[in-house]
Amino acid sequence: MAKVVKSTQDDLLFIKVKAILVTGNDSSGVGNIHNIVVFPNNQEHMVIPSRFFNSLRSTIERVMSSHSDHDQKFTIDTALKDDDNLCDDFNSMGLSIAIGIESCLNDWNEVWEDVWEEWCFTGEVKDSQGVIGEIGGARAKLETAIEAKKIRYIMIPSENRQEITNWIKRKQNINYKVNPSRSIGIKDTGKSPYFFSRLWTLSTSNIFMWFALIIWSLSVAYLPIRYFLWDNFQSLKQGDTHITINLPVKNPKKVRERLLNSGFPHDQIKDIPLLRLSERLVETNKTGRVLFKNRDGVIEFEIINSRDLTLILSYICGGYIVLFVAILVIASLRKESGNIVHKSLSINYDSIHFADMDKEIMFVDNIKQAESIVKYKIC
Amino acid sequence: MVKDMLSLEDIEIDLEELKRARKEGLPIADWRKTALRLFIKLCINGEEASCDLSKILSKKLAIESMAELDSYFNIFGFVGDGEKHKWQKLSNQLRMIYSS
Repeated sequence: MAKVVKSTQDDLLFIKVKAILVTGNDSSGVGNIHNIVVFPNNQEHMVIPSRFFNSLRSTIERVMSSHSDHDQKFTIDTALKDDDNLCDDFNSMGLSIAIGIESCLNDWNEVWEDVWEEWCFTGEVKDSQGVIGEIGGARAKLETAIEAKKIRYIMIPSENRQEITNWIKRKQNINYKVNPSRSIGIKDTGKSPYFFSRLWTLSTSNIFMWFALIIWSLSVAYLPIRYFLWDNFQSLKQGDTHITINLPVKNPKKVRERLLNSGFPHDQIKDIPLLRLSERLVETNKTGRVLFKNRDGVIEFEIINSRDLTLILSYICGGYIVLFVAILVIASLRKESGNIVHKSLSINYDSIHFADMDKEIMFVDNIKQAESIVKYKIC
Repeated sequence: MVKDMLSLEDIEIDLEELKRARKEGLPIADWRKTALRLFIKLCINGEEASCDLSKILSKKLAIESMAELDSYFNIFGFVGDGEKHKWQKLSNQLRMIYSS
C-alpha cells in the first residue's frame, strides 16, 4: 500500500523556483525552464555548478542586501550543466533567486511547496535596493512559459512590458486582456520580532549603542555595590582597625556584633551611643556615615559626609539606567507601530491575462513588489 | 539498517573533512584525497542494486555533497572520461534526492 510521507521541517528548507533562460544563438534562442533549488546552509554562499558562482555572486549579494540580511547564506542549484549553451547571462535568474530566498526566510514556504510549479520568473536584480531591470530574450522566455501547461503566473520586468505587449498584439490566436495598474492590499502575516528581541536589536544596532549598553550594564552592577556593599569595601580597604557604618543606624545590635567581630573591645562598644548619633542626624535632617577607629583598644569615631563622589556617581548611574531603558522601550514601541503601518501598504502592478489559457503575466519593478504579489496570490 | 546508519555516519565525516580541506585550501593533496574518498563511497553506494542512495542520504547531505564535489571537480577536473561519467551519474542521483 502506498504510504504518504509528510514533509518534515527540514524538507521545507528546500525551495524550488522556476527560472527561464534562453539557450541557442542570440537570433534563434529557445527558452528553457529550470527548476532551481534554494537551500539555506548557514555557512557560505554556494552555487551548483560552481563554475557559475562568479556570474551569480553579485546577484545573490544584491538580493541579500535588499533583504537587509547578510548573515544567512544559501546554496543555489541552478540546474544548469557545464556545457549548456546559454545566450543570455545568468543575471535574469535574479528574480527567481530572490523569490526562493524570500520563501526560505518567510513563513509562506510551506504554502509555496504546493504552488511553486504554477509560477515562473525572469528578471535581473539591478542593485542592492532590489530594483528589477530589463532582460534579454523576453519573447523567447514568454513563449516557453506560455506553452508550459502547469505555469499560471509569469513574472517579467516592467521594462520589458512594451516589448511583450507589442508581441502579444501581433499574435492572432491569443485572447488577452490588459489589466490596468491595480492596487492590492498586503496582509503581512509575517511575525514581527518579540519585544525583548526588538530591544536587543536596538541596543546592539551600532557601535555607539553597544557602548551605551556596556555603560548601562556597569551602572546596573555599580548601584547595588554602592548601596549594599560599599561599607564593607571601605572597611576592607582600611583594614580591621577601621569600620564605616551608614547612619542612621537601623539595627544597633548588628552593628555592635560587627565591631566585636573586627576586634573592637567589648566594654567600649556597649558605650557607643549609636541611637543618639542617629537621632541627632535625624534632628538636623542630615544623612551621613560614621567611621570607627580602633586606636590600641580605644575607640574613636567620626561622622563623615556621605555625599561623596561615589554617591553622586550612583545618582548619575541610576538616572542613566532609567533613561536608557526608557529610550529603548519608546524606540521599540515606535518600531512596532512602524511595522503595523507597513502592513497596511498596498502594491501596484500591471498585468496581462490570457483568458483562454488561464495564465497571467505580471510586470514588476522591484523585489519587494514581486514578493508581495506572490504572497498576496498564494496566502 | 545498521549498514545504512554506518554509511551515513561515514559520509557525514568525509563530507566535514572535505569542507575543512576546501576552506583551508592547502595542502591540495588532502583536499584531493578527502574528495575522492567521499566520491568513491557515494559511487559505490549508488551503484549497489540493494542500496538505494536516497535511502541513505538526507536532502541536506545530498546537496552539500553535490556542492563540495562539484567545487572539487571544477578546480581539479576529471581523471579520464570514466570519472566524468561516474560524476554525471552521481550528480543526477544527488540532484534527484534534494529536488524531489
